[in-house]
Amino acid sequence: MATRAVMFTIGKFRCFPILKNRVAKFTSSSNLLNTSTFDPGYTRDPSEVFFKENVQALLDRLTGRDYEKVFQNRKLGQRLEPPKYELLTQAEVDQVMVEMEVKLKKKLQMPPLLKEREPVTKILSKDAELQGFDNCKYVFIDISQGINDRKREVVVRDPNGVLRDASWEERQKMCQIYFPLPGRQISMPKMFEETHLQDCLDQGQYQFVLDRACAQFEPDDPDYIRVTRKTYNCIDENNKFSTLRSTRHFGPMVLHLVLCKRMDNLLFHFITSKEVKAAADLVRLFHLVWSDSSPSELDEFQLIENYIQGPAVKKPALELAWQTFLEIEKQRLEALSQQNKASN
Amino acid sequence: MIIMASALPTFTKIAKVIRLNRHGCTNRPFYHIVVQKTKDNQDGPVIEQVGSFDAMPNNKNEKLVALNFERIQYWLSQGAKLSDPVAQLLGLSGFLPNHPRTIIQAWKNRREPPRERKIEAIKGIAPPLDNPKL
Repeated sequence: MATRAVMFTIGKFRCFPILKNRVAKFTSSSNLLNTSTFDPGYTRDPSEVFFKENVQALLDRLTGRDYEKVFQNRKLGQRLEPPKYELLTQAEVDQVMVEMEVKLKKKLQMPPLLKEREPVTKILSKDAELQGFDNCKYVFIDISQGINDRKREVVVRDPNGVLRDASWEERQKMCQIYFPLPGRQISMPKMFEETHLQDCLDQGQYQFVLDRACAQFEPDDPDYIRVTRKTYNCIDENNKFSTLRSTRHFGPMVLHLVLCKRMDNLLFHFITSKEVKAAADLVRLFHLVWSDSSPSELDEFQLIENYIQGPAVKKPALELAWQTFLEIEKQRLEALSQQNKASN
Repeated sequence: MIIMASALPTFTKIAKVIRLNRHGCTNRPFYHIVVQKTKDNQDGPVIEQVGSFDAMPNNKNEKLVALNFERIQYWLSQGAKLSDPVAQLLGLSGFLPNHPRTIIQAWKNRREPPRERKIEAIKGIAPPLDNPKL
């Protein structure tokens, strides 16, 4: 289940034993081979890049459209139904395909990459005369219908008489109690704590972790960012890109890797699986993100070569893979031309 | 049988009031903030529920109050009265000014701590019970 609602209501996480891990210490790891999970990799605001139309188009193309994978029956605790077989005319089939396309777009909607949200500091009133009226705080939520959870009024009256806007943790908890979203728990599931998260990732449960993170957190929640970045880095280290292909998480992962300048493994993966278009799209994305301009070369092969010669980090491996690919291509073209001559 | 009070016809204009209705269990109160006719019983017909108030603090030492401000505003405009506890809650939430009762209670709490009851032992017959409620 764990599919996220289409409307990204932005609302965060409360005091918990995990708090000390959440306040991540952004120090770069001394071990360059194994990037620290708390290393953000970049400081610029990803939302500046994520919402651009050309970036979205590229990410959409890179994600791919494997209908089988997108619509597969996933074991998420819901009742599975056997497939229905219908006899349709061509026109009806086209109609159904159009409807499926709409459904596919909804399933492949990418969760946004945002920077961490700022803590709430607004104080509405300081009433010193109310000090000591009670020894616990009162949390008020406005349960009027038709308000976005982000804009819902949640205020707290502290025992010292201060009336303030609720913190992100208090706000999310209250909204979840009174307006529950499916798939979301009131307190953070233990799965997202460091040790348990590492266990999940070691088992290769990337899509499950990301789907659950999407359901549990808001996109600008520091915990969401921590969990997703750790998952993306894990996938990158283990070269398991195909697990996320044709899912909604592939686009954000690619953008994260490009922003961290860690896209070389992915490029290697594309070249070795002979997906030239995807490799070229990746390089175009790199140029868009880092120099905000589309490269002048129209030829895909040239584009990839220039990248490998230029900004690539893992040059030896990439050059080798590229040369191998070019040779295979040449042989394939020769074989094809000989076939054509023979048939003619 | 639960009767919707709004479905019953009224021939005389009986005042409406927004007050707390005690639900929950023994030793565990939970209040619904409801709009009712004043003459109806606490467990009688309710016109509309406009909120809830959990009087027991949770493990984060918070008391949770849900208030449907839009509907409360409507009923106030229709002439509904507020009971004291509801008025106090609305004052604490910032919707209304601070209720004088809250201010007085706060002052009393600051002046002296709530009195503790002391149970003396009955000599030679029974030791004091540990139950502070007695």
